[in-house]
Amino acid sequence: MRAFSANKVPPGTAWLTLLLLVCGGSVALALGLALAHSVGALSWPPVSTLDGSGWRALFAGPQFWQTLGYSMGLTTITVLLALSIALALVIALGARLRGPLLGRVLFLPLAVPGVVAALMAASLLGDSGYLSRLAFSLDWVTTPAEFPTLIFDASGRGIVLTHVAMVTPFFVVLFDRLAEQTRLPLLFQQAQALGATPGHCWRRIGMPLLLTQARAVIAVYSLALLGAYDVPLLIGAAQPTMIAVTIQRAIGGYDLAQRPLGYAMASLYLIVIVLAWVVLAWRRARPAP
Amino acid sequence: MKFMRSASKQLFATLLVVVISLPFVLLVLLSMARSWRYPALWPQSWQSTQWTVFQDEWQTLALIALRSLALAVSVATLATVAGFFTSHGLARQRQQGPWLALALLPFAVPPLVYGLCLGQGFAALAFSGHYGGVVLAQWPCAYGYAVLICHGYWTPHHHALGELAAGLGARPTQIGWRVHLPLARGLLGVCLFQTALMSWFDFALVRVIGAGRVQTLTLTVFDYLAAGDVRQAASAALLLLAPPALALLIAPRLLRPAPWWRPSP
Repeated sequence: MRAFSANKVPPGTAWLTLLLLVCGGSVALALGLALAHSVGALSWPPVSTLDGSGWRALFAGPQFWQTLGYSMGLTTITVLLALSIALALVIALGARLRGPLLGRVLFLPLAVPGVVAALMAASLLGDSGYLSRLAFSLDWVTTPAEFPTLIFDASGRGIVLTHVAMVTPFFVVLFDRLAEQTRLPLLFQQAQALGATPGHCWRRIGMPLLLTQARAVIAVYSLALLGAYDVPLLIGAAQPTMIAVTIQRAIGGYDLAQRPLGYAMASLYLIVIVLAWVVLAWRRARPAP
Repeated sequence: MKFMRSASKQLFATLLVVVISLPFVLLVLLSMARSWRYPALWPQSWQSTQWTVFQDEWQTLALIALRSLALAVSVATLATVAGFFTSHGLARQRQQGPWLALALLPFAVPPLVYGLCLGQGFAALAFSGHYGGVVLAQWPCAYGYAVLICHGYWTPHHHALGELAAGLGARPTQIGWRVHLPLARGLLGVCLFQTALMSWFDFALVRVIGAGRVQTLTLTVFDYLAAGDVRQAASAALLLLAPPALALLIAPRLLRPAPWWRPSP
């Protein structure tokens, strides 16, 4: 506990070095190793020439771009859906979200890991899942095959539904807290005194304020969803797949010839992520206008 | 009119509670259903051998749960202790933005891609395939998160209390133990719990770095599901949900998302 001195000893440089090494260094190491593997620089026995086949396959073939586009599409739809549902709930329920029962139940989905969410989704949304049984008992369908395919489907509806269910409660809690922090009710009162309707209040003050305040969190969440692995692995279609599953199949699969391509995909994806992080950090570092 | 609106809001809130709880009730039913054929809305026969204490199935699950717990506690302790000291160093920097962004970097990288890239390096150093290696792999993300949570402790008020104690003649060690530790206790509890949850819920890193020799509850759920044993998968899933559910009952503040809550996917 020597670090807590209040005198002029240079502030915890050792700990900041640790932060730099652990958080920056580990990601840099991962990127470096991926780049080295992608050109076969670390293969055994050592090779004299580097192998560019992985990168050629990446830029020539559609595989990486398809899976990246698919992941981005699903993530965009998920985030937009989750944000609109969360905003709608905050607008509709307001203070009731902090009620004794709802206030606790809202936290429940936050305590569900991806694997369990996929298990729940499979037993709820599957062809013979609980929703399909409910539809049968209401005479809407007569066989499991008539129930719309929601999991293992190529359009990724199951993945989107599951992720929306996992993420929406978080945004609800976040918006609710931000509304309290920014004193939204007071602002609304003032606006209404000046003649605004409740609709105006939300459109002109509430939504812009909440969304700009939550911008960085939304961006980080989107990046995490883009790299989601558990849910797409368990209830996603065999083809197309989300990016983490594609990379895992290429690197961890039985076909060793796919490995350079897998590492090339991993490096490019890491570069994209780090660039997104730099943009995000730079925008946050700028003073607010 | 106003009464009608309030009643409809109450109805909507109740409906929301039912919709959110439905998957959890279904999970409990699944964990006890021996057979549950298609159109039935209720299982035909029941089995709960996995909940009978000291039976084989129970022992397997309990052992795996204990191992996952040990893993989570190690990661959380290491992350929280290092995170608190680092946040103290950070609080005295004039430029904090870049450091906070740096602590956030491991979140942006998907654990699976991170694990795959480091996988061969871990194997070369003989770190893969045992619990220490998994702790090492899970640590950066938990540590960054701990730094972000503990950063919230260093308000001007808390700094001033430390300086006051120093002015009254307290040694740095005493300031740490008798001023900052008691004041930060609540925050450190939240930090310990949430970093433990990150490890408890992790699937990708355990699968890649553990190389099949490290068994945790998330992996057990996956294995049973892949093998088609939904009853056992649901039981393991319930064990996985038990700690956060208990926290929700006893101290909901432990689960409250920090501004940078790590999403579970």
